[in-house]
Amino acid sequence: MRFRTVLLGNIRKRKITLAVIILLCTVVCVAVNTAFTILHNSREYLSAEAERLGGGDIIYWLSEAQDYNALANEVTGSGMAERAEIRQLIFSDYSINGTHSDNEGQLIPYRNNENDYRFINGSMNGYTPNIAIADEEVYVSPALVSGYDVKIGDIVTFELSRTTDKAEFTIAGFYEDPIMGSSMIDMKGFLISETAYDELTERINNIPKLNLLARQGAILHVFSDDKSLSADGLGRTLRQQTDLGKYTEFMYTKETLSGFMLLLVNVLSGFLFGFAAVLLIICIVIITHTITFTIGQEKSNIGILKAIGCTSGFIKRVYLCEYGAAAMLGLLFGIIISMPVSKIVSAKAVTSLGIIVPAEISLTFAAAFSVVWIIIMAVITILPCRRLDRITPVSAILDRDNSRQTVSKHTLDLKRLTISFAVRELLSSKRHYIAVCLIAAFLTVFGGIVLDMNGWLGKNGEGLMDTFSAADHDIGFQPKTAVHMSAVEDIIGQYDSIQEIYGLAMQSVAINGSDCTANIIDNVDKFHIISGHKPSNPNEIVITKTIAESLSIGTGDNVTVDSKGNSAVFHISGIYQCANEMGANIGMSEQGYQRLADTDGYIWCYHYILKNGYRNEEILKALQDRFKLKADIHTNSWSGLSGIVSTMHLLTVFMYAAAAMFILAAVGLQGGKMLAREHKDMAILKSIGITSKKLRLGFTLRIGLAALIGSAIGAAVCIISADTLISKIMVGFGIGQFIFKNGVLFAILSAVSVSLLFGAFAYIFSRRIKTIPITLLTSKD
Amino acid sequence: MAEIILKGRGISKSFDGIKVLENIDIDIPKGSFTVIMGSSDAGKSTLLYALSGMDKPNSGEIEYKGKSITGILEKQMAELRSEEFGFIFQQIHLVSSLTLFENVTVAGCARKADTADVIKRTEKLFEKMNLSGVRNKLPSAVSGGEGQRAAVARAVIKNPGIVFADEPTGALNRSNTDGVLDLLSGIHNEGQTVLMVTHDMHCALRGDRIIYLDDGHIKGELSLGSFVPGDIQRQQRLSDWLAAQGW
Repeated sequence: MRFRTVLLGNIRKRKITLAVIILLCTVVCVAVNTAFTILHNSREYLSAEAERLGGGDIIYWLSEAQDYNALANEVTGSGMAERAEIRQLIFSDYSINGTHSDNEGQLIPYRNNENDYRFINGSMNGYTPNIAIADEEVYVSPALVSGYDVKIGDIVTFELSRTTDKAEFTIAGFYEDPIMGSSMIDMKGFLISETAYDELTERINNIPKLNLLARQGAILHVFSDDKSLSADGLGRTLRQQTDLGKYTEFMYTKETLSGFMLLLVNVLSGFLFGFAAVLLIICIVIITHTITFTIGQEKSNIGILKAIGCTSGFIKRVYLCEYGAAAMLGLLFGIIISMPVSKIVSAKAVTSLGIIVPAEISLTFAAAFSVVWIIIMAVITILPCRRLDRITPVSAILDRDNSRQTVSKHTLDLKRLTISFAVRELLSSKRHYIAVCLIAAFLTVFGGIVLDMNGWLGKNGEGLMDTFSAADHDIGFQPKTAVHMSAVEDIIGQYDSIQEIYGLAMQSVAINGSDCTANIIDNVDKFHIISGHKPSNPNEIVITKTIAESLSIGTGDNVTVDSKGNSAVFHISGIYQCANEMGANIGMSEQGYQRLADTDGYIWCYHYILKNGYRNEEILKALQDRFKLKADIHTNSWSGLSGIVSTMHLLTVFMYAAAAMFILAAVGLQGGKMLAREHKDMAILKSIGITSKKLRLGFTLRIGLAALIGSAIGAAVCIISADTLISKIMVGFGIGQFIFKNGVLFAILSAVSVSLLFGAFAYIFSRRIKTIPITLLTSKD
Repeated sequence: MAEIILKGRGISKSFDGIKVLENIDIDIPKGSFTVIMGSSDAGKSTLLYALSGMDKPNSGEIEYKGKSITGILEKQMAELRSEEFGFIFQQIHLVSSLTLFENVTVAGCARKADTADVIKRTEKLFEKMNLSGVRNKLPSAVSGGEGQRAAVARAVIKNPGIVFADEPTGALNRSNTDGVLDLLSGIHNEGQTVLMVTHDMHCALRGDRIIYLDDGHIKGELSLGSFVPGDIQRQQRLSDWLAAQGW
């Protein structure tokens, strides 16, 4: 009875504080549960779907083979693969809504009895069963919505020849492709009817080879026999024992494809988790300080309770129940709210991921997180409660402060009283401002990192592209037939000045037997060298950090590189930055590659670096109009980039909003307690003629200064470690080294923003000072 | 006739519908030491707060030096408090984070002031009030008497037009009470106007004019003349008058 009465009394008294704690716990819980749900469910779902649809451990995209089934049999016969399945397809250039794709599309015949694809309904929030594809229809990945703004009813045009042979299909709907459906992957599958596929095959067979643009090919799904063998190991063995190397256009392991498919999810979840961790720490700081302040304020009541026989343990239990109940309510609300939030995130992600991520939250994880959070809450409640043991009834009731107050060494400057007094208060009550300081530091570090990432990404994602590309460029032009390059340059010259031209070729190779993509450049100065030096002679290559770590090789080592059936030994001269195959890349000079294969033909893509670079889209359109079927033309972008950029920018906005909310909560809780503590001093200062405005300014200055100190520490940490921290996150995506030249500027910007927000909220919050009456100093009569 | 420094007309104040002051007219002459007395809950402090602008009356008009201070803006009121009004409260209300010396100098410099002059005057006051030894101590580290003497120093540092004292010795023992009262008598003798609320006859003796408040009305007024220590007749006169008022 007594326990319940005291507990309810406390809850009534501190309902606003408890409401804020509930809110903080709710936000943290929503962030953690949503991030986990999307990350976990997308991985599970993608893996299950890839397996269900027969993805295999390695997938080869093949062309120019006479008999693909014989190749599959050869793979199976090698004894290394449990089975190998062939799915025929047609590679073809395509345009959607007048936009020409840089990459070939893959027309895949839909055989209902073989491939149980999942078709997505028009609202993109569920599935449509029993699809029968009509001959003029095509089903596409929803990721094309983000890349080409497609909608049902749009026309996809496939260019079969250099003349007028085209095939047009109407988009009838969307399907989930767990292998290449994500906007992070440029190659895309187009599901058409078997009849339409057969008809197309016949048309292609009738087109003279010289005119032919479309070509037949196949996807080979290889299932490993020996599960202990890595996909890389299997690939190495198959390359050695079969003819696969001769016909492989490109090849990816299950893990690499999954990495591409989930790139966006991984990046965003990583950020969300990081942010949730920061919020968690801030929550702990706020709650610990709130409880400490509360005990200070409630000393008199604690003394009275002790005087009537309540023990310290009794009071601790009351606090535990009070704050524990708030945390549990917050967690409960968080779990409930994360259900619709996960659904919203999942729905928003369909056009980026190409799949509908199941939005059911994991109750096991939610329960485990709740238990951990409750334990943390119990610890942070109990720790400040140790002070209760030192409070005696008399000292509390007589308001004797057991903590020694010392005279500040800061001399008051009577001419600048407001500032000087604020500094004095700050110095004499440091511990009361530690929370503000810590929160400001954490938010500045996190804000700096997000600003860094956002700045690096660039307005249109150019930073990301530069990292993924082997070398910088504005326009890429890869002829597929004889083209007068002077005509290309004339067109570009109408819009911008060409500063530099170099050639880049991408060819499938194997390094020490492991498949990867070689970036061959005719000007090796263009490589982004991280360590060592560029491959300055034909015997040298550079490798990415990803290759170095996966194959345990490094600068100074000699490796064997295979391509097109030839093999040569190369010396590794350095590490370079390139993530266009999730880091599975090596870099070499033109002369270096010539040791393996011919560089004639149309392997070169000419990269143009322009003076201004802001009319690239116009140049792209002009070149496409002129050389539509004669070349692959691209800017330094890809279809999924806009998705990443907009999602990243949205995430940044969300994180800043959440950070602002946490600053508001911190100022509200900490400031409220400080003002309550200084109520009497404020009234005294008013009684001697100091205006509320000056007192408010003083309060704002104190909070602002504490935040500024924290922010300065945060900015320093950010400047020192942000690049390293981000590199650690990025290494998983093939980005070996993150260096952002404006890091210092953004760290300072973050610090200033956080301090200003603290100051602004403190000033708004200090309105309460206006209502402090001087009459509280007076006697009652 | 002495100049009226503070004037109240028709002052009424109610709390939750209960009338505490009802239509009070009062004049405070310049240089006087006026003491407001009365029984418990007579409205003594409420009248002091209304006159000093610390609280707003429900009705009535208050003039300071011939100018209305009823309903003036907070900024103007703050100017009055920093330049013209000094306050001494029953409890030792000093800013807890400032030393005794700083508590006084901050009050002296609340408005534009010559800081060197304020420091000089504070030092003199501390010497006079026997506070020099504790000038750099925090309020929590000094005795009640020392704290309240510092509060008196704070009230007079800016040479205010009037000092309002609300039961200034209510929280002090007898020896500290006399010390504070001596200070108040001292500043009054130097020409300072003092308006004090007390329920203690011993304190009231220091005043040269006593106003007796009963049930929200001024019941009587007594002119006592200047305070002379050890004046038994003065004490008897006050005692008889208070008894006649129903004290």
